[in-house]
Amino acid sequence: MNVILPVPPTPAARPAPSPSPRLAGRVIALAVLLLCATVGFVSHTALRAFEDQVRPELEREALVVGRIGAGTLQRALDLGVPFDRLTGTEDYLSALFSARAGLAYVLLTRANGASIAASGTVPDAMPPLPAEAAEAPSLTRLLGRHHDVAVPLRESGRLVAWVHVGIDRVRIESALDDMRWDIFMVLLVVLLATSEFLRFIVAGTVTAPIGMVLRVQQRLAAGDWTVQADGGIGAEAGRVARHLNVLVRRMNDRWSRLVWLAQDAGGRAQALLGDVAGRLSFGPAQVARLGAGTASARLPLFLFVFAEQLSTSFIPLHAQSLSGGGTTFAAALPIATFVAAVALMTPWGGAIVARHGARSAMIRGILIAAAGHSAAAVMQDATGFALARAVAGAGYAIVTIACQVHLAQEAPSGRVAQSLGGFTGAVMTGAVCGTAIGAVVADRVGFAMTFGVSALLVLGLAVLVWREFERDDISAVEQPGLWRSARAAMSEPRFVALVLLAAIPAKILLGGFIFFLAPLALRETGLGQAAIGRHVMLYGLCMLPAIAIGAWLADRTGRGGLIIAVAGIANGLGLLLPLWLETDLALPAAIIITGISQGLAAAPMLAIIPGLSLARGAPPSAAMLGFLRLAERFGSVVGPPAAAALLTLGGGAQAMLVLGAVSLAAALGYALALLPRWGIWHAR
Amino acid sequence: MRADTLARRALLATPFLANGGALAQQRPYRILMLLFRGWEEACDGFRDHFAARRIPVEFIIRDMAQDLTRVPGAIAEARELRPDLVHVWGTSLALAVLGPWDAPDDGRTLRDFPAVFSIVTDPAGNRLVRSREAPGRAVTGTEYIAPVDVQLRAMGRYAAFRTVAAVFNPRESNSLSVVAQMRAQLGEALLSLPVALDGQGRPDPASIPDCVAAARAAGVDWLYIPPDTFLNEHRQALTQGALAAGLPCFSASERFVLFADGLAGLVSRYYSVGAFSAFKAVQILREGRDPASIPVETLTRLSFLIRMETARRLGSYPPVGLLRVAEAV
Repeated sequence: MNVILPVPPTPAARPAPSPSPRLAGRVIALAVLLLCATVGFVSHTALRAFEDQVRPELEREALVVGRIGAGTLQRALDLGVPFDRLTGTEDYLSALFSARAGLAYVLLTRANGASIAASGTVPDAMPPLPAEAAEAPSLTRLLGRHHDVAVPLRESGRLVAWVHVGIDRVRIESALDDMRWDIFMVLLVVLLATSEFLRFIVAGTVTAPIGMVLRVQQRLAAGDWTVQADGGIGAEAGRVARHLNVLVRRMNDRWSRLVWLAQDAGGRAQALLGDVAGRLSFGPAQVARLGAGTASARLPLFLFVFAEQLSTSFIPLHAQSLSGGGTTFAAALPIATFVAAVALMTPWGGAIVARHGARSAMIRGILIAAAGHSAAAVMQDATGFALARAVAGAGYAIVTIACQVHLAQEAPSGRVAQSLGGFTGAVMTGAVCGTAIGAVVADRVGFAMTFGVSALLVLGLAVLVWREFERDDISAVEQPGLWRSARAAMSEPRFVALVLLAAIPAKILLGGFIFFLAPLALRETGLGQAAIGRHVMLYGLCMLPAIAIGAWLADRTGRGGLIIAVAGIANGLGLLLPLWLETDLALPAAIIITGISQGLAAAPMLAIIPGLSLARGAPPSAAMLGFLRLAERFGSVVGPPAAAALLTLGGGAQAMLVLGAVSLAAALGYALALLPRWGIWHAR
Repeated sequence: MRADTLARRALLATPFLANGGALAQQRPYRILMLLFRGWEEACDGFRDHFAARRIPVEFIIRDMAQDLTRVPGAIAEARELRPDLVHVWGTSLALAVLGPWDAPDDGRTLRDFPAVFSIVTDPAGNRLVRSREAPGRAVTGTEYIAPVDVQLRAMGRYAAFRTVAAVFNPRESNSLSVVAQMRAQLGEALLSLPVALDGQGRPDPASIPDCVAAARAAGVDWLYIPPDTFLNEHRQALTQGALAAGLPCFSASERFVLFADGLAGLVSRYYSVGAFSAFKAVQILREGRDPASIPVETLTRLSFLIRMETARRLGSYPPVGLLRVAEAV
């Protein structure tokens, strides 16, 4: 039987360009750069237009106040009250001053400039007005750092007095500053969200399919003809994959035919085929399909955190209004229940992931979170709302653990840290974007409806995960129970050292310094609320690039442990800065250093886990990640009260120093723990 | 006869009002207006409210000319005329016509028709209604003076005081009610100066200068004038006497400042009070609401009147801040 089969073109024969790991990065960077330039230009133009309008507007405000103020006084004079018999001018000016926020002073002087009554902070030197100014309805001039508007008062046509209204120019500048920051935030949110979506699309349509083709090609080149590519993905790469599949199938057919022919041919041919079978593997019956890998869990994670954080800015307000304008406790309750649920459910989430797989766990978590958001949208009382937030917290715990496990599993060899760094990056990006957009959404549709938006977004996400993620391949190995996993994890000294000396101290610093001490200390230096917010935001801004750098370094050097130790030491030193610098410099510097240090350590810390779970008797990495996250939550919860206690004992600077010393000691301890077994501690 | 003159004035208005309506209404509403001292600004406000809404009404006007002995005749006539609504002007007349809300119906007071009163002081305290919120009978209406504590604060805002004298007619329940409230607020800082009564128990105008002199002698900072019909009749004598004595007068009703020489007052404008009463009448006539379910209310916006000429003559000018809100006359 001599059947000649047409030989399909062999894509593998053509040297396929290797998908550079930087491909996606370049595409995204280019797109973001172009977007940045365009949006930046538009924002700049908008800001200029705003400046052009707002500056005269604020100056006009002083004029309006001046005219209104002078109007009543002039009326008194016109009604026949002699100027020297005017009474209640002090009260009148202070009422005028306090009725309008942002005025620097209101002043009544005689025609010769002698002060009669004033409210606010009047400049020491008030130069006399030119004589011709009395003829004009008003006079605006710059006096040091004030815009001064002077309106004349006349009695029987004779100039008797001036009403001065001053606006601090700093106020104008700070209004413009606030606007600049708002525009910057919008720009940042747009860029971050765009890059997340681009990353997902490029990964799903370009890099992952090409990577799959390359992996198939690599397997074929190594002589493994038992593998097939998933032909249903990516237009071009899918076509190549289908060609490869035809090739594999034909090769297997021919092999079967050869084996059949060899049985007839006898000894020598069979020996030859046996030799070939020793070097190549064929298995038409056991052809395994090699998928493209999930494109990325980043976008679902980003969208999930985005949906969750939409309500961050108003949860205390909403809780207070539900409790009928209640107490601080009422405002804090839903936050507490959410955090508690996340902390308690994280290990359980790890167990679910280990038992059912990442995709299934993610869908469960998403549905639970959707139920939580929907309940939060309809709840009419504070207790019900707090319970709904706890349900959302449970979903959050499961989804975040599932995503981490998924990223760890799907990470290409040697890029675990970078893949897991993506987790922290996506969470941070989602948080920044969600919080910023949530405030806008809530402003438009109300608090309850914003939860509805979150629920819808999360439900859409469930569909995305269900469609885009591969079904879980659950191993038949029986998963240990939660308690056994915990005992196993805690008996692993490397895990215990990581948790006690790195993870918990880092979160204590985050909660205690960034979210508690820093805002208080910044307020003491005289900064306003907006400026404090911007300073605290520095943490996130520095952390984002540091995560990527830390992950890259860990994968490249394989020394994740060392990076964690160095980052911890740097963080500790950062908090000791008040020893050498003035507070107004030391505080922002310490915030920046904390952001960079914690960013650098974030990915290596997660990337160590899969390696540890390979040890004999160790629990699965899902469970260990769950415990790590639980320990981190513990640190976050302990941080603020610990810092508060230190603050009460010895003041802000001392509290910072103590936190810094603790961090430094823990990091040094961790570094020492690394020494005996340097080789085992590589992140890989 | 004065009542006839007023009736003619009303009839002049009626055809216009009737023609102006556009009208599901079969005939004009008949409103019997019982006035205590003739047609004035509150009556204008009452009439104009209907006119502006083109609601056809027929006003039947009876003026008691301050003589309460005419009340039984008016009540008898009302029972013959069978109006759709009775409008009563003033505290004394309202008490005489309508009686206390919880008194038995002995036929001497009018309880057969829905009634709306205006220019009445403390209707709950005078037992005209059970309470402001729930009148407890088919009667509702409007108050026209600001709460006493608000008036005292307004007076203090013009010029701080230690002692105040209140001159009043002891035969007028509205004045007595206000003075009692002032006493509760000020205690010994209030000097009560009732005008003297003549042999027939009527207030004697000749005693007004004595009251002013007593206030002057006591060295009070303000002379307060409650909403008092007798003093309104003699407002010129009272306020000019006070001005001559260098005493600033503060009044609860507009006429002592607008049409005399009082210095200041926190007042509801009569015209607006009349219109507000008409609003309640419309609720009863057009919307079919039970008067017992319509609360007795006062206007939420008051006018701080200041007579600048008096201020100049007294040398007591208002503080600048007050001029922002006050109405100078």
